[in-house]
Amino acid sequence: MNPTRTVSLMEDHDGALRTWQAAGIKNRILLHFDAHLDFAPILPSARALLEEPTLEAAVRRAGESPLWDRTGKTSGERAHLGNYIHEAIRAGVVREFVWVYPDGTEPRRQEAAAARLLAGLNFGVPFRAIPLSRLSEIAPREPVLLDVDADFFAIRDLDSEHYPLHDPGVSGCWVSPQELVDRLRAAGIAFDLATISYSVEEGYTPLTLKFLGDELAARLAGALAAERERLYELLRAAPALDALEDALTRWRAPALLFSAALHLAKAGLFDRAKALYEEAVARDPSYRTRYNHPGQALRERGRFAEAEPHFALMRRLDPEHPHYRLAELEDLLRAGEPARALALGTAIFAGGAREPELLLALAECRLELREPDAARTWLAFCRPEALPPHLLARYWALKAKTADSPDEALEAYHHVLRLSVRAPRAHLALARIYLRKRNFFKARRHAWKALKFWGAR
Amino acid sequence: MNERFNRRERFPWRRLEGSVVLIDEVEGQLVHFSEVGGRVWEELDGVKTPAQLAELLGREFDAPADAIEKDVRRFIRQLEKRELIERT
Repeated sequence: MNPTRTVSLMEDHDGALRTWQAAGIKNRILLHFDAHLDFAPILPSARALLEEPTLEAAVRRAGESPLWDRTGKTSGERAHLGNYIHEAIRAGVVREFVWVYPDGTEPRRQEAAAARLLAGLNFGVPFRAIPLSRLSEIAPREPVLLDVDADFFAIRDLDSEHYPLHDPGVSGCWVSPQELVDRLRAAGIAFDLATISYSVEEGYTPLTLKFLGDELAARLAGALAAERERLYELLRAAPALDALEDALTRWRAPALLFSAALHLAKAGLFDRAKALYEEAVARDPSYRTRYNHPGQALRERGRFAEAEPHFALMRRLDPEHPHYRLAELEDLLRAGEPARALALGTAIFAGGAREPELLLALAECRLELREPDAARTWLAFCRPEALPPHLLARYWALKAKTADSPDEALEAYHHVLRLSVRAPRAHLALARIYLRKRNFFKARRHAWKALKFWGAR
Repeated sequence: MNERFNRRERFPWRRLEGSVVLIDEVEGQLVHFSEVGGRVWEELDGVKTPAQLAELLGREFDAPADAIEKDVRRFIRQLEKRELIERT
């Protein structure tokens, strides 16, 4: 074992960027093992134009990009798990970037899928993309930054219908942490800092495979104790229920308990399933994440029918889980039943849940029921500065619809526009407000934008 | 016209090479004013009236205030139309 190695484990992969920056790392080769590139663009900040030294430079730079960030946040503040490598390159942490993607079931299709993901991207530094099987082709002459997403083990085909998520029908991993370590060794790749993310929270790594992150960290840091080795081996084999129950007589690891609970629930044995689920959650509360089944991530991608059986199973296992009930509430809202949605939301709130999704949904229920005052009361519970970006646009849209005055509505719609690339409804609403204010110049501009963006939808 | 106007806070701006440059993030535009326009912008502090602004700029640019007051008022109307400023 190399004593200078550091292995850092995190839930969200953008934690790697924070780790590198905290360690003062600069100018390094990044080896990124992931089913995803994590290189989504970070739009240039409009405010940064004011930092240009001359007017000519500011005008020239303004013409370089058709899209500008309008939130007023820096690119560092806008880095997230889908784009943190972009920021790492911009900040000078990474000078060379290698993306190692999974070996697909069909190599040619996988290569074509990777090429599609890379089309049109400009990395600004030397870049290579290779499947794991060709790892030996790269021969870095210095220790690299090793960066692994646990979903690399779970997601195999980049052109799968489930991509960017894992296939819910596949329960095991296509390659093991030990094989990955062996390949690194065979390719002569050294590292001094490894970052590993679980990536359960966005629905990429199934919770039942979260342990692969722990296993890899232990293997990269040194040898595993024999007992742990046996436990990981068992978990990786995606064992049947009887093998899990047998293992539970020796280990009470959350991963084992949770897997056994799921098996029992699928077999309809809910009393035993609940007991094991509750024990798993008591030992590790992260096992009660809203992403402890594939349904949540499927819902977020609009695949409601596929999500429903997962939710139905988990609701029986954990009927009071606020997020499962919240999904039910959103379904009622979508189905145009605000009164029933409100009754459910009020019950969830009475149960102690304070998630911003719930508060926004309650405000929306009241708005649908034509009770804007009550909607405003719910919105008053939300602090916009604490809301995640995907909820912020919804918050400001609700603020605009419940505004007391045209000026308040204008301000709220302007927030919506700053958060959205295209927002035809917001432009149309603004056109109407400006028309009432007899500002025909602005009314015309927003009406034109509404039409333009509606056409582009 | 004795109204007073203030710059809206949501527009970040700075003086760059004699011009005032501001970002209209909602419209996605970089706006820049001439030297005199930039001075008007800088002095829109919610305290001075357009007449007082014209007098101030008249002294700075060595021009009669009544000759430039009309231009100042027209410029302020344009800024107001674009909602870059608000009445105080």
